[in-house]
Amino acid sequence: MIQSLLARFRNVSIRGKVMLVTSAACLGALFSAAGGLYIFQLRHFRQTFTRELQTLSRIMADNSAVALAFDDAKTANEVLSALGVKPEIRGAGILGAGGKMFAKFGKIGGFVPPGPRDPSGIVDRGEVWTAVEPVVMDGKRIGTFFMDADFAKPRSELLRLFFNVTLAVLAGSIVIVLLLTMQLQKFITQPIQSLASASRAVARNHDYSVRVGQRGEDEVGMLTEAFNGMLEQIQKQDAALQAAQSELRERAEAAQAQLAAIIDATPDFVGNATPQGVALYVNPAGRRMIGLGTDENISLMNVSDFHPAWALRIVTTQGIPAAIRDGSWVGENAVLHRDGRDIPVSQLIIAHKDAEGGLHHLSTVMTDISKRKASEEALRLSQEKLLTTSRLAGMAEVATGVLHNVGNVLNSVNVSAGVVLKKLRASKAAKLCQAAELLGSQNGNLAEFLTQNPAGQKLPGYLAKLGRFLLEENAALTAEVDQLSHNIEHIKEVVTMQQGYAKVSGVFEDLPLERLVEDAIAMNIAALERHSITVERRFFHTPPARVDRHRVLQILINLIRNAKYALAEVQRPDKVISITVAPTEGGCVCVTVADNGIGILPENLTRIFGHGFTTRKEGHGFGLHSGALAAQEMGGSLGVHSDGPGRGATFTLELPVVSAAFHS
Amino acid sequence: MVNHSAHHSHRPWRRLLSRWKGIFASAFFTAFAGTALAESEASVKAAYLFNFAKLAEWPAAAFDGAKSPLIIGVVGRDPITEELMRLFTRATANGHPLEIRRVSASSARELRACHIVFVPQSEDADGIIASVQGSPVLVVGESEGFARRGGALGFVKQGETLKFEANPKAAARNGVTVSSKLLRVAQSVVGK
Repeated sequence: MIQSLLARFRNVSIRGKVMLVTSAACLGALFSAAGGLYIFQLRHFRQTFTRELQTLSRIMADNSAVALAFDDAKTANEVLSALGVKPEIRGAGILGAGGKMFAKFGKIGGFVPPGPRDPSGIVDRGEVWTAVEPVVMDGKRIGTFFMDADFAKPRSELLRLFFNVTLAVLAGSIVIVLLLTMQLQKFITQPIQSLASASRAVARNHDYSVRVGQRGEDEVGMLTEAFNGMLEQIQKQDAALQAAQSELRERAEAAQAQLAAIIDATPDFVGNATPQGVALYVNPAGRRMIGLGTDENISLMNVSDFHPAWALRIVTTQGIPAAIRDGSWVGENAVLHRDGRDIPVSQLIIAHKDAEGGLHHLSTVMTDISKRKASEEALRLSQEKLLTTSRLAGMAEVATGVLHNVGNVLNSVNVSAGVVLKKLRASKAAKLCQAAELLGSQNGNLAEFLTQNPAGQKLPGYLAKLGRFLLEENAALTAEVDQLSHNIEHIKEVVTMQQGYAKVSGVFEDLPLERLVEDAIAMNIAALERHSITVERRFFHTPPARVDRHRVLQILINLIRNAKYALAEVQRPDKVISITVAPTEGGCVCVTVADNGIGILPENLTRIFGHGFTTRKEGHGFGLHSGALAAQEMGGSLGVHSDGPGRGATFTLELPVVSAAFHS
Repeated sequence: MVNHSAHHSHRPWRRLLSRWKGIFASAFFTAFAGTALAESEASVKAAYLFNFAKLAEWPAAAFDGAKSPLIIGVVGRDPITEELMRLFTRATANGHPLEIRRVSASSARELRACHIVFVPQSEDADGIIASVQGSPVLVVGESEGFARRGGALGFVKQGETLKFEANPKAAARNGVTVSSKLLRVAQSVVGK
């Protein structure tokens, strides 16, 4: 109820509101004034009535005192009958000292003695009030006067009068208030109405150049000023906005044109489709790729029309699910040309999501990779061919390597075998047989022979000497045979190793390089002695290197042999090969093999590790080449240094160590 | 404000009641005697005299002070003297204690010393009226036409009821003013 009234009030115009509010305020004030006045009037009326009754009853009691004193009821009745002129007095009576009714007038109810609550002598009994007054003569109470007065009637008369007057005043006031408000409300409502009509005009026509005339410095004036200021600002902003908008539109159009140009110009297939697969757009390159006309309608085509069946399966089972999951998918696929050809493509599928995360549409970019595919195929074929060729070449290389390395070792085997043969030929074993035959020919005169014959007397000494000699010979032969079997073992290893040459070689072990160096020296020791070459060893403390034993051995043997050749070419008494094992600054271990031989021409320093490079007529040009490769494969390197011809050469083999902890 | 005034008007009423409790009996008796008249006529007349004392006004010179006694003199021998003494010895009228005296008709001095002189039937009314002429004395009698003859107040009998005639001018000639209230209850007002 109140809500609907308030709602209705909200829609009343300002003018109406001002009039309503002013009238309501005036009426409220008038009503409360009237109410207050009424209460005051009623109170005043009660007081006046009380006072009148008191006065009247006092006069009556006084006037009737003597009559009562002289027991003159007639006079008392006369006195009471004077009350007849007062219409509000219903009746009155005088009681004698004994409480007996002495005189009475009009209608009287039962006498009510004044209680402690009404010392005034007035008993309010609602419609009828009773006044009680003692009758006193010379200070002595000789009886009681009482009278009943009608209170209701004068009160209702007063009320009626009051009501009529109030009504008239209210009516007059309303008229005056309405007239005044109608005249005065203009001062308040007109500025607001002009504001309102201005804002209506602004809202309807979007014309921000409207301004409201200002009137004063009050709130409405401030509002008007603010409104005008706001309009001015809006006008400025509107102009700026429109400028910015048109600029933005131009830029967007330009950007769109650029994008469209890119899409039109790209040689790739660019297109998009609904989540259901209905084609939305295909760029010119895409149309060309699949043999579609430039203006051909694609609205009835589906993604399935653009791919061969197997490629469509990739799109539906891999591409789209992955794109929905990850945003995009890239893979190799194919499109179907109108003439039935499959064109291999690299395809990008993008899933475009809407604000709720649902799939909005799909787009794809496909690059024709048929040329790449063709060249890949050609490459594959040539690689295969190359592989065969290289395998053949590899086999030759392996054979060369095996022969070279085995040849080196066979040299030592040869020497060892020669030594053994020489020793065996010069063996004194036959002397033992001669001695035995000599003893056998004595035929029982052995004791005499051994004691009497001068030859026999020397025999035991001879046998002892022979025995010692044979023992020594045996030891030398055993050592030589050991060396031989060692070399044969090495040949076996070389062959085994060379069998797997193409592969990354065998087992890596953690080995102290000094031992490998010693092995390599031992394998060349005969040749070195033949050329009276001194070997100097300088071994610093190094950690074990992680290496393939046989490769390192091969490299070292090669280096020592090369040094030996270099020294064989010069005529000098102090032929020295100096071998150093030392840690490097880079945390590796290096073995340097330095000679004071013929040296290397500077122009050959760079070619020396090339396949087939050699300066010797019986050389293969393979040793340093394979050594450098092997060093690289083990994570190390092989380098050379020479100050020039006749000034010697230094080869450095660098190899990784086991643990980084060592050199810290 | 209302409470305050109520408080004030409340207390005098209570005080009045308690103060006058002692003489309620006499007042009651007065009323009783006035209504019944079956009691001795002397008692009724004594009560009337007391009422007269209260309703008349003497010049200030008639009293020595505010508390000096109001003297009622009864001429000769009459039972009213005993009744007056019995009923009103301790009473006051307008603040003056009553004093009851028996006075001699021959002594003008004694008569003039009284404020009220009651002249019984048996006494010489005219002589006594004449002897107090000019003095502030209210002369009350009961002989035939007492008021017409120059007395201030005269008892008359109207059937069973005792009434009185009043001659306020005669009283005024002696300087005593009779209250108009008294005149109202008088059977008749006489005198020139």
